[in-house]
Amino acid sequence: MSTDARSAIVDRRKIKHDFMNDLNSLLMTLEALQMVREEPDEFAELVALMQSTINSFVARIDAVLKLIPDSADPS
Amino acid sequence: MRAESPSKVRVAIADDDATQRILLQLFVERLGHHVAWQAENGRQAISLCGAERVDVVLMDLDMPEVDGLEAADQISEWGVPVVLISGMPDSQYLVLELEPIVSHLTKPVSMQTLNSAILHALVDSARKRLGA
Repeated sequence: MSTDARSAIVDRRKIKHDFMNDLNSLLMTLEALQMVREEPDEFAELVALMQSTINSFVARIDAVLKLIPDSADPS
Repeated sequence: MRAESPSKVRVAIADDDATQRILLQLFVERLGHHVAWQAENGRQAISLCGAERVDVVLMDLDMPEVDGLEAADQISEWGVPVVLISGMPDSQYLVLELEPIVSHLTKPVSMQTLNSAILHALVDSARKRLGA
């Protein structure tokens, strides 16, 4: 296997790992938010954590989208 | 340093994702347990476990430097039960039957499944100590 092919596999695995981590964090934060809904300080901290995770997730999507060409060449 | 109640279960968390560590700590503490330490990779987990004994380790599978399985292998030799947590649903087939993993959870982890896994680890650990 070429070095490029190996790197691509490692990169794909890392991208998948990071995406899954963000998604799982969002789902776990939702459960945590329900748990602390009567505690304003904890609730605010978790909302900030969720916003940070969403920003990270959006940045990852953006990074992957940049790898896709704007349009396919029909010729 | 605040002394923890001796009745509290001492839990360690090893995960390379900072947000996951925060959430797992919150869940563990809400379950009434104490988080003794946190590690960012398997190597750090092994080092910390050697320095401070805990009752159970929550270990992420996919971590840099030393991965969760390798760290679990070392830590379990010291008689500490390890609950393996992974973000990849298909990884359970790889590790389900492997010793020394006491149990395996797939993210996202809920409070209920985390509680069951910690209790299972404690029961399993006590059984092994008693030679049952």
